[in-house]
Amino acid sequence: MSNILIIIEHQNGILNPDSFGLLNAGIQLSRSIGADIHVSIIGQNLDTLSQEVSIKGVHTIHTTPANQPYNHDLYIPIITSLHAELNPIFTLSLHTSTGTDYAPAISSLLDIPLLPDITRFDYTEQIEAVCEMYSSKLCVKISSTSPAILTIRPGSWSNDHSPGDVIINPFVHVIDEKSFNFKVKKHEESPPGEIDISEADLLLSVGRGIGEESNLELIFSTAESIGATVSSSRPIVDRGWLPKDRQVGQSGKKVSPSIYLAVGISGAVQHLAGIKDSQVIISINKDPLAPIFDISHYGIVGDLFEILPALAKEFS
Amino acid sequence: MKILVAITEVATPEDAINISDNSLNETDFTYGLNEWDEYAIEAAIQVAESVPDSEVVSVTIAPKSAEKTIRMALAKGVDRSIRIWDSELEKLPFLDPQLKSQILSKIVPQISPDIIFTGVQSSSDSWGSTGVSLAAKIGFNWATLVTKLEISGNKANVIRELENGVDEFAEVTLPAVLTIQTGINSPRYASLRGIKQAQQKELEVFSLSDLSTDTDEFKPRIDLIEFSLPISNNSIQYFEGTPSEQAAQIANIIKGLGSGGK
Repeated sequence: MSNILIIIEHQNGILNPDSFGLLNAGIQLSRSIGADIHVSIIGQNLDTLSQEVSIKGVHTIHTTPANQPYNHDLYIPIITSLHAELNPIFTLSLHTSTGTDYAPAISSLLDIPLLPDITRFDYTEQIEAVCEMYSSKLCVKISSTSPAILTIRPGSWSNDHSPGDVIINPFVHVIDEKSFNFKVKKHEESPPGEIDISEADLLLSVGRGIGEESNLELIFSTAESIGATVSSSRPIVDRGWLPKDRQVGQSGKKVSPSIYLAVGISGAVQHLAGIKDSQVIISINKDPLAPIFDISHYGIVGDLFEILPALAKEFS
Repeated sequence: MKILVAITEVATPEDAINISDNSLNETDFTYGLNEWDEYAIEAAIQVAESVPDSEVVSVTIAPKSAEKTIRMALAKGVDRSIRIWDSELEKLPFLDPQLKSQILSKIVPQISPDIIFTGVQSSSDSWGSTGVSLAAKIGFNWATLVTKLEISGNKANVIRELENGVDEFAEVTLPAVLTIQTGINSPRYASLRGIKQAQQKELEVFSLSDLSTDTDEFKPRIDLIEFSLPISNNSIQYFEGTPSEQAAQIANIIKGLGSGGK
């Protein structure tokens, strides 16, 4: 029986819910190959975490206690020694700030191929995995030899799961903290700003398409007319035009308004991850191929500088 | 301090991408410096400015057509540039992260950098893996997603941007690869003087055989099966008409909220 190794992601003992999608990706693969699913959990709160991921389809959970948060100097020796023991045909991680911090190193150290940011795959005689290029405007089906390591895009597989009978195996590993060349000092949440965009019911969200900082005036005046709160995509915050607490997306805030009105936002994956819980998404963009239209309910291919003043007038 | 900055020229689709014979049409794209690398270059130059006797070298894996983009980096303050290209690379549909890091790993001993800067990802593939893959190959430490940086002695104090607005404060021992996130700084524009000086700066070119006698180590690790266009979402409803008519349709939905907002 061959093995598949899945590295679970958590923040100080709290499971990243996308870990279930990751497990389901592995389970799909295990059915095609006829492989056992082995799961690695490293860190704190291992009993609770093991219980949570004891789902149908998982064979064994390997738990390695460590009294500290994620750090690649902590994870990599543990994963490589578990890899040596299990000799998995595939190793799966999430394509997140954590997964992308160690998976490419594992691939280098073990000299095995890395298939990054995978959104779906099939396995017949070899892995055929799909990732995206050019801001989701191109799908690329790729393959590699195995063993290989895959990083899975969060949200690409369902998080559905049911409890299962799983073997728990303590995988003891001596941690030599003194040898760490990377040291985590602390974690801090961005300070809350004056406005909590995650509470807003109607968001007018602005992106690169606004062109110049002075055009934000139009956004704020329109927002006032229609009763919306202003939020933005990352580039607006990167340029210092709006404070960080206005930023929607993976590294900013996740929002779930009744209406998300996106103007001049093309829709990078990281942005879309932050808005998918909105009830209604309306997008205005000049580019008919902008990825934001793929998850919008209503769309206008047009010029925000013509449409927003007309929209404000509707409320005067 | 010796600083290497690995930069890439990216292709941006102008309009619809056309796929013919499982390859892309170069004329569908415009080419320019990767956005993340703009910030990586600025971070590299800022460190060099703060430490006496520093040198910033850029390295790019790209055909000759990228030299205009490389000159822009030189105009901003990079001291000299290296460009690596080969007819073998020309044949590939794309360069996978491991191939890129394998190539870059061979140039590192020639520079002996204390820090290697690169962007978190390139806008063309968003795979975000080359920096870490390189660090592990050459035995450097690393910090990814860096949004704040301070060098003190042989350590870099960094802030890393995690998900959901969480910042990680960390310390990494040099030599290290730092992958730079957008927004860390305000990238400077090249001055006219800088653009003039850039023409005189050294731009060295290497082929794969210049880097290793065994060019088999530069084989791609990912094979392309096929390119395809994404299946578009058919459930979207487009509002047509004049801007006023379109605006009226949005207004109807907003007014349907009842309160007309929050």
